[in-house]
Amino acid sequence: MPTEETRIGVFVCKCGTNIAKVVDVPAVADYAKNLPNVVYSGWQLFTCSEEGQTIIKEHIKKHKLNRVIVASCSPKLHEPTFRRTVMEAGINPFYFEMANIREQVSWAHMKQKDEYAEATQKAKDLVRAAVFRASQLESIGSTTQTVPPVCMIIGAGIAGITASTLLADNGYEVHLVERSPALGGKAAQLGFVFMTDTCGVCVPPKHGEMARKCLSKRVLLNDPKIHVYTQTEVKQFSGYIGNFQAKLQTQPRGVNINTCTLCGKCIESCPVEVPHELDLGLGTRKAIYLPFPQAVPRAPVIDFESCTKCGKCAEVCPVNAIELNEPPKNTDITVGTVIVASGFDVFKPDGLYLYGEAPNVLLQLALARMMDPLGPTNGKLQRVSDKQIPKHVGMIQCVGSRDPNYYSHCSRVCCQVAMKHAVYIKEHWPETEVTIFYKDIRLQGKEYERYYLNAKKLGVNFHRADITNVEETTNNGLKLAVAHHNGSKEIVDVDMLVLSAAMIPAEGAKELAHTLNMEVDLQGFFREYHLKLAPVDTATNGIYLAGACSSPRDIAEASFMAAAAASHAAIPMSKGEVEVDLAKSVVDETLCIGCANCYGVCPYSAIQMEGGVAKVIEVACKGCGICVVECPAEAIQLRHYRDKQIYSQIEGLLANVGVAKK
Amino acid sequence: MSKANLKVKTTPPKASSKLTQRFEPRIVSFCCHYCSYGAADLAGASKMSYPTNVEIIRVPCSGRVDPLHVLRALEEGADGVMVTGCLKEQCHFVTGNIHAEKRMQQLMADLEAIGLGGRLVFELMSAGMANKWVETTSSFYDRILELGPNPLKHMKKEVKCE
Ligand SMILES: Cc1cc2nc3c(=O)[nH]c(=O)nc-3n(C[C@H](O)[C@H](O)[C@H](O)COP(=O)(O)OP(=O)(O)OC[C@H]3O[C@@H](n4cnc5c(N)ncnc54)[C@H](O)[C@@H]3O)c2cc1C
Ligand code: SF4
Ligand code: SF4
Repeated sequence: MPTEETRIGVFVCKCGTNIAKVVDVPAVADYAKNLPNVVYSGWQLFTCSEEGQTIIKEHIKKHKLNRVIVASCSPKLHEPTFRRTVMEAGINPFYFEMANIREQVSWAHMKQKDEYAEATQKAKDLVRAAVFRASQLESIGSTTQTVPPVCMIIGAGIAGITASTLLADNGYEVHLVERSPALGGKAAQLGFVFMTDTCGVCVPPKHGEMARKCLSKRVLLNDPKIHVYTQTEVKQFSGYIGNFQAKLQTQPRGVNINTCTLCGKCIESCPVEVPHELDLGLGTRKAIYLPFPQAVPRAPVIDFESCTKCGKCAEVCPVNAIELNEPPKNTDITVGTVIVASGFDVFKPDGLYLYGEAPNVLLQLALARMMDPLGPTNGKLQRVSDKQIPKHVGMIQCVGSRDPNYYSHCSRVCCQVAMKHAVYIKEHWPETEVTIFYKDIRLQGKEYERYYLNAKKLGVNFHRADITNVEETTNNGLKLAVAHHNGSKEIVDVDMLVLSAAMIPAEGAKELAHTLNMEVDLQGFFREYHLKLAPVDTATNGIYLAGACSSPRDIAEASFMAAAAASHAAIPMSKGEVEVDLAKSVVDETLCIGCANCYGVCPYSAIQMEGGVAKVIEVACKGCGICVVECPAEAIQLRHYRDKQIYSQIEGLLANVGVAKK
Repeated sequence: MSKANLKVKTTPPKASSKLTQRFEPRIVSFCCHYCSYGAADLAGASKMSYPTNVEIIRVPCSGRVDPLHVLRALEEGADGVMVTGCLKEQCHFVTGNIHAEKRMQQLMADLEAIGLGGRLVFELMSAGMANKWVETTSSFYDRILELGPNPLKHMKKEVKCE
């Protein structure tokens, strides 16, 4: 094949004044004209605009360009845009190269005016490196991968359930994997929720329907397309979009949900009584129990850690639904896409404000359980120590949130949770005084303000203050040392103290991130691919995020996000295939000595040894290049990041260093 | 690369080159696409400043960086080289940063042995850690200022391109 002449076009962007204020853009464009193989170089005001892209295409035609360089913002932002532009003009997208002169030049060096000349020089260096590299680029093709219309959703909280129903309604098959014995997540624990003051997982009647219905029940009973796995976790996970493989492990429930009639006889007969984790110590349960009254699936579950296998429940069950020796079950599934909706947990402020020590110090979540009409106190507000209605309830905000010692993020819903609970208390026990100690009140959600105004009207006290010390009094009351932000100090007595503790990554989130190979942020929440442009995508194509697993959110926002994730997951599934580019590793069989070093290091098992040489499975390879460095024979190379491509970039970057020519 | 298109520069060279004026280190940083490149971007987007002379080569993963790439950068006249990747257990490619760390530590020992000690740094950061990017680049810059120019620089025969 005759090698065609390399013809590079360079387009330097002013980005309005974002780049041009610091970098002398026309000078950079002029400079690039003299670089090897450059046949066109010019500047634009906004290269990424429709007009800017049209101009690129015109120059490609006019100058018969076969390599294109845009010097502008970060490739993380617009590389996909410009790859598309050059493709539309008939150039292979991998012949496109970007020089980042905004994030890494103008913005980073805008503070000092005397640095502007150096910034321009740096922009020239980066453009030169791109030009050198461009000459070494290769054309890279793509292959298609079929995507079956099957999605695995991890977590059956409000987000996971919402995404499941949306996908099922659109005709996709869903495997809904929930770790706990019941669906609903935290919302099912909350009793009533803002902004509707209704049950957390209950949906209003739609046009033509008579009554409200339970979201969890609908998933389980009405959707043949949704396969629900409770008490189940993803143990192993591998593959790529269109062909993800998951090994699910289901713990034994001990009760056959298909035959159980929920008569409750087993629960009555069980002699073992332990604290109920869902009620945070406020109530107890048997070893065989229904997690909460509306729990779905509609059958009890045996907690085999406290169960003594005495067999009493099996004796009384009229339908023989008890299976005391049921083994754990493994299920292998293959899915096209994955939505992670594994939610959050509440920070346990052990050691703070006497939490865990004084009985009348509790979390908002426990207060929510208390005020749930079907909860451990049947909806009654009472002190844990003596079951008396408290006369004065104190609430401390931002416990563990916005605190450099614990979590630096704002948990976003706690202010509103405090408003909800304060209003509820004032409406039902008007004699009880409620005082909220806060750093800032942050109520950003729709309708939130209404609760705030209501709380004020009902006489809730608001103090902007830090609580510097808590002491327990003789009658289990709490003495708070209050340091007001205006400088004054006082002691306030309350007889119940409620902590608005941070919303933090769910227990096991780190392990799940590891299993699915997802990134986490500094707090440990799953990281979205791009906060602004791809907030429900992850770095792995085909895996999406929904709900509070990526940041604290309220139910409404978790639902929006679930809808967004479902629609993103539906894109490749409805097309039935995705295009996978082949910027992957490739082995030169004539050089390979069969040492299997590459095979040993590939984190994705994308290399097979066949007939004494290595072979890359292209759809499985993720293009990291770890294998390349390991090869003693230079037999394996990563397309788009071949050694020669990296070397040429280094050479270009440093081409102006050396003994100056006369 | 074809030199045929190498056109002669029209503007006259500056009166005195930077090298003779004052030592301005040239630092090349290999950054992984997912984390450290993002940290550098974020530093810029947050208008934090760091030394201008730190210039980035983007690679998919720190595990793609071959010790030979670092050596080539030194050969081409870089005064210092940074290899940066994702935090431990947060590598987008699972183990890339672990391999990189092993390789770079070996290389650091080798560089020490041939008199180029201190000219390579290996750091891990997440895409959100713009602070760490600024700290790493600034302190490495200071270190290179102290170490002085890369002695290999004078062996480089020519300026390939001004
Ligand atoms: C005290 C309190 C009161 C609140 N009150 C309100 C309110 O009134 N109104 C409102 O809008 N919001 C409220 N919120 C916020 C609300 O709880 C959340 O918005 C909502 O629960 C988020 O839903 P989710 O599905 O994202 O997560 P979750 O509800 O946490 O659900 C996640 C599900 O995933 C499961 N899971 C976790 N890890 C795994 C795994 N590895 N494998 C399988 N399954 C897993 C969990 O068991 C759980 O069922 C409150 C929060 C708190 C703490
Ligand atoms: S580049 Fe190599 S190590 Fe990385 S995924 Fe592909 S085959 Fe595996
Ligand atoms: S490391 Fe290189 S030589 Fe060894 S098996 Fe892999 S490709 Fe072949």
